[in-house]
Amino acid sequence: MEPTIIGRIGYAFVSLFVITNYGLLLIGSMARISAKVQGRVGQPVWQPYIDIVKSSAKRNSIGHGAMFYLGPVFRLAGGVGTYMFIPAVFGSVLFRNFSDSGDLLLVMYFIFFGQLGMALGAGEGGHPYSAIGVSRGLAQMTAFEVPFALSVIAVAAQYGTLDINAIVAAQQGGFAHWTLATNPLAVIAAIVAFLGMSGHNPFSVVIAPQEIPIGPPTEYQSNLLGMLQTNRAIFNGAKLVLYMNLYFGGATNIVAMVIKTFLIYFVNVFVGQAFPRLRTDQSIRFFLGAPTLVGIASVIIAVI
Amino acid sequence: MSVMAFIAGINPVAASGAVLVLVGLWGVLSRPNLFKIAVAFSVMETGVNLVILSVGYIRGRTAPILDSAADARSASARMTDPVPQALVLTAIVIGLAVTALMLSYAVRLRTGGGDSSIESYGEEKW
Amino acid sequence: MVNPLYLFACSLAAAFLLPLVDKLGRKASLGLAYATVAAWGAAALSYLWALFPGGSPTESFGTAGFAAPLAIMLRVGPEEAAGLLAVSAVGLLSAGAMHRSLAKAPIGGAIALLMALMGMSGIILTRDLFNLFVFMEISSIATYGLIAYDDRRAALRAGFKYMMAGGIASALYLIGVIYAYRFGGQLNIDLAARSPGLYGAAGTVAAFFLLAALLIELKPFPANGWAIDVYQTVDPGLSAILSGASATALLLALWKIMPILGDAQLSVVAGSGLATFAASNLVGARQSNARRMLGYSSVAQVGLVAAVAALTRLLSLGDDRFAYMVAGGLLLNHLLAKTGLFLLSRALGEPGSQAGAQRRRERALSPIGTAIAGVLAVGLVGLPPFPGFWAKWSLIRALAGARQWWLIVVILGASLVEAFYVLRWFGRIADMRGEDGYAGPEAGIAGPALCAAALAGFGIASGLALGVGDPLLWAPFAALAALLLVDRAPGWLKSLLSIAAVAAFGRLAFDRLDGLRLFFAVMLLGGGAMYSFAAMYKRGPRRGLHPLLSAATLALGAILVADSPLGFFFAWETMTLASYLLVLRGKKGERAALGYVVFGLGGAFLLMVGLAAIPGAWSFRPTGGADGWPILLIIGGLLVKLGALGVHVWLPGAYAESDDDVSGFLSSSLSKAGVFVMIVALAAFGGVVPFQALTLRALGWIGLATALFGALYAIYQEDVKKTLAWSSMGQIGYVILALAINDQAGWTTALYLALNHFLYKSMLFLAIAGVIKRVGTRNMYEMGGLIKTMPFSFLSVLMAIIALSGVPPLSGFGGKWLLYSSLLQKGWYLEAAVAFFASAVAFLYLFRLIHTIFLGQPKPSQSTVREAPLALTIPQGFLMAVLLAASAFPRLMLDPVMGVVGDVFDPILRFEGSTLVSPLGYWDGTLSMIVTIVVFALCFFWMLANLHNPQPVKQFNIVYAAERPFKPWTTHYAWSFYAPYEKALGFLTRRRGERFWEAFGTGVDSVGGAIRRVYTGNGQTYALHVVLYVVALYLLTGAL
Repeated sequence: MEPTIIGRIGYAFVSLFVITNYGLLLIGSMARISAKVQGRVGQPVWQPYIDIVKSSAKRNSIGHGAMFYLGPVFRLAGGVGTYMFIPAVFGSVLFRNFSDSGDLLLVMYFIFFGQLGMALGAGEGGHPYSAIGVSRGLAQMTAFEVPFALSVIAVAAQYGTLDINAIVAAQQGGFAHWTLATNPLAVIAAIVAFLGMSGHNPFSVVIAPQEIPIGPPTEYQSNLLGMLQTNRAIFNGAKLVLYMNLYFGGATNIVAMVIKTFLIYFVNVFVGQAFPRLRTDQSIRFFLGAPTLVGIASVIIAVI
Repeated sequence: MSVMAFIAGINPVAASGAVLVLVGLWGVLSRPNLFKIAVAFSVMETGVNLVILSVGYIRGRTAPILDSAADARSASARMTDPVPQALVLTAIVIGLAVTALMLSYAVRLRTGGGDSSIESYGEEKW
Repeated sequence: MVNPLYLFACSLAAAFLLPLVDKLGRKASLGLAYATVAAWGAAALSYLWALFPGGSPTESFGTAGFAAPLAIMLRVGPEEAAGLLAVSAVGLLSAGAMHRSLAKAPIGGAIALLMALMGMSGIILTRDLFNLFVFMEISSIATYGLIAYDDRRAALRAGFKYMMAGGIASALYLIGVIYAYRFGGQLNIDLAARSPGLYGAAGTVAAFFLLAALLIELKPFPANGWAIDVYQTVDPGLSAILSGASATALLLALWKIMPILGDAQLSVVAGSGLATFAASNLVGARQSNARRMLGYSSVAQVGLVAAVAALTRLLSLGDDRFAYMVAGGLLLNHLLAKTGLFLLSRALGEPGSQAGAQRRRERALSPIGTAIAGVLAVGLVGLPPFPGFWAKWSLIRALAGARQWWLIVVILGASLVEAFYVLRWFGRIADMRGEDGYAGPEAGIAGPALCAAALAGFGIASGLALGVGDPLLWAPFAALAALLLVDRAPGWLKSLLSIAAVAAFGRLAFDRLDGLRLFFAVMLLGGGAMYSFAAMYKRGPRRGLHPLLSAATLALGAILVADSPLGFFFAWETMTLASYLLVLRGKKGERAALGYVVFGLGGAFLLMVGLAAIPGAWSFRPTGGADGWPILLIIGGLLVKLGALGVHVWLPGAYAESDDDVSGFLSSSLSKAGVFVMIVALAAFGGVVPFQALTLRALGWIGLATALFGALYAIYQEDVKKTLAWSSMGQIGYVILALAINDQAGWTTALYLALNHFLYKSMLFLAIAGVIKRVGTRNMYEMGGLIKTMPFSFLSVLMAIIALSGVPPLSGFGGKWLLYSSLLQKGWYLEAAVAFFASAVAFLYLFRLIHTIFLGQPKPSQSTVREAPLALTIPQGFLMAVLLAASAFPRLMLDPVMGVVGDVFDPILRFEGSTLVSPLGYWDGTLSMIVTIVVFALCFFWMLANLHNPQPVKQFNIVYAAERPFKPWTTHYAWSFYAPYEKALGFLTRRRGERFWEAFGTGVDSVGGAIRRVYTGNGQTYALHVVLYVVALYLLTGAL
């Protein structure tokens, strides 16, 4: 049964609520895992909630201008919007979101919406670290988008569609139908790109805490920082769901989604704990090297 | 024998004209002195004039004057061709004018403090 | 008809009387001389009057009442009458220019002038071989006299060399005449041509001598050093006579004896002429002395005319009418342009012989003088509407018909070199113009002005004669002329007039615009009108801007309505011309304009050959059965115009150095003309392209490379206009790529991208124009923080970059979606990946653009700048509204586009409600817009709701390494923004294109440099050249 428009909006809020909480818990648990690896006790799993509440409750808010205030709005809208354009659970009306607005291409480009707005807001902050961080982030982004785009092209070529629902549908029927099984090279390229996208080590020059303390958001505080922190959860969730849909057979229920996305995200932590940080130019050359070749190979496999 | 016939076949006026033309040309190309170049042109023109004359002259015919030797009816069969002689007059006049101008140029170049060798007038080039 | 003998008698009598009349005063004597020359002109006019309305084709006059062979015959036909008129007109103009010197020098100068002109007229009239010699000598001797008349030492040096070459030529001619008489039995050319004796072995040699002498007089390469020296050193008036009148007379003499020449001899005439044209232009490109350069150009043009005359007969390119049209047209063009330029060179002052010191000694011209120089230079290089343009078109068309490709290559290649150096010279003159302080026209400008006017008049007449009578095609020139007349009026009035002109044009053309043309009319005409409006943003009359902008806009319109290949090419070259001058108007536009026009002309030449090689080209209907390869030339020419990678080197300079609003016009409107023609060409010939799949794929990769490298170059620019210029190149690359896909989806993409590019690039250029006006610099790192003072411009740039980068929900995403959908649908996967990379790179320069200008730390000096003027913000506001509407309702834009494309291809994309559906996916622009707005609004309210006690802080209130910074110059992160990117990928952007073309230019230049070593300046060497030339000519004739 097709829900009414009011019903769809209601569903969307539920879906958003779920992914927000899941995203926050995911971040918290991953931070804790990292701490364990490094031999620390680490923060509690619910630390992200505490951070957001604390930021939002600040009595003062420092502003540098209109765009500075709009930056987090763009960022959060970007995260939420991206998620809204992705069907989170295959076949579920509740988690369908507004994925009939457009296909995979819309999602891939909507990712930039929040990044752009955030970069602009940070720019008005006037802090050179913000600009440096953005410069690094954009530069790195152009590079990891190449293997990612190639891998998406491979998927589109393989399934003959850019419709995310159709891509998931084509992967139903067991592990052997997943992209991971049918075109592993595409998944490798995409996962490497994902490392860049997430900004963990070795691709963490963007927020490089030691040299340009946390990069773009360096001037943000209070409620504005809270929004950025919220977005981090939602946006991570959205990207993970997207990856799950493209490469890991999607999810037919919420449990499968949680397990799959957790594992995908875990790759980040795993790699991040093992490698030191690369310089921007190094990571650019890295992404345009082997991962790109793998991506090209995956396209060739998909076509043949 | 054939050599003799060949030599006999040569028009001596034309041949000497040709030689003069070549001498003149050699002079133009090899003597750097402005005045000598003018003289060389003069020599060349004389040669050309001789060549012109040689065309009008036909062996064994009379001068192109209508008198007892040739009347109006038989003129074309018995006279040499008068046209080249008329042409050569004009050519001589023109040659004279050119030579005169050339010499006057040479004089003015010299009096302007220049050298008399053409090699020193190559300021405009490339 | 007046018997021309009376005219000779007049001239001689006047010459004899001059010393006597001179006693009455110099005014009287010169008046008599001028009157005599004018009498020749009047007689020539009366001949033309009698000949033209279908009267007798020619009329002959025998001397002393006899006819040939007993008398010397003078013949008056159309070419003779026109020649006489030319000699007299050039003579009068030059005499006017030489007036002061003639008045000072002894009266012999005037006599020599009179005799020289009479001799030339005699050369034209006579039909007698020996008489021809006499007149040649009369004019030569008189010229020798004239060279020396005003006592220039350099002229004496050159004159002596001239005499040496002339002496050898006259000796050759005499020998030729006498043997022609000997073997042909006649001195009359017409009778001799009928005598079989002249065609035997010996007779051919005689004809050869005649020919060799005439050719030498026509100054063939390399036996022409003496002539160049003369052009350089004598009074410019005399140079004009030699280059215009004398060359005309001698070319007519050559034309006269052509009937007695065999094919082999005609071939060497053509070969020698073309070699002269090519070599002289190459050497001309090395000249820094204006008159010597004009001399080389002169020699080259005469060589071309001789070659064309010979080729007309040799290849049977056409009848006499063709010869008049082409050879005559080229000659007329040369005659008027060169006469005008030589006379004008006097106004530029006396250049020294050292190249280095010369530039300073040349004087700047007044605006009127500059305009006249422009007309003459532009006419000389064969741009419309001047006669050379029409002649060149006819010539290339005929040569293509005869399949003489190598000749076309040589002619067009050398023409390009000529255009390069002539326009370089003009650019230098134009660059010297004073910005302020209006100087009155120079003395002696009347002659060049008359030449320019005549050039325009004859050009229009030849265009009409070729059947280009459509008033809309001429509208650009009408607008140019009309607006130039009111050029001193205030800018707003001219802006309104320009807009009115565009509106009137649109109204008149409306019925002739089908869907595709209407679509482009919005961008081309609408864009032109918009930029005319925006031009008001700078105060003052902005002299020259409005006429050119209006002309360029209407030329774009003319391209749309042209319905014949010639009409189209006319409009295309008009557009090239107007835009070249627009670029040249820029403050430092000299170099950029030169590159722009040389590449523009090169592209146009490719286009011309392609059009000429396809009969019946130019219709939107598919044509079958034609040869396919010319379409490659057309595509190649268009790629040059579009600035495809490799031939893009003109682009950054042209877009950056023109006025700020003009840059926008060039980038957002004018570049679309190339897209339009590409579409028309592909629609008509897409089916016959050789190796279609491969060619289109290659085209796609060219577009892709253009897109990628345009973006890569853009990210390293510090100059905001350079950034936008490279960005334009990249965006056009996507259009090329989409066109190459060649199906409904691809072309829909291309048109949609083109329209979007028009919208957002206009917004960017307009906003940046405002910023540059306010802050007075183009370097982005010298700006910063302008969002506070120029919020509207910031908003405009923000929307534009969101659209350009393709971020949803603005319409730019539609372009990206369409592009990837059609690429994937077509199976071009790698292309899609590279396109994705290129569009990611675009983010870099776009962010840098908006960040370094509007965000970050403001400079103290710029903290009080005002928002951009209304003339800029109004169009931007309008464009923003359009962009928003088009984003929310994609069908507004896509329905017309798909309607146009639907005529050509089977549908791939279709709409279901507001959802655009491709075989691979879907996109609902309206829904995604709504979702985005709602989400954004919710987040916004969330932000407001939780905002506690917001406190705005002052500049520098940031925590920066434990201190509070105080200098924006060190705090604003702007310069070399992407240093790590440069480190990683900088090797890709090492300006290989520029280096290649520079090396190419150096190569051409050094060929010219090597060739010119033959011109040693030694008269004897020159004489040796003459002799060797004759020998080589003889051997070649024998070999053929």
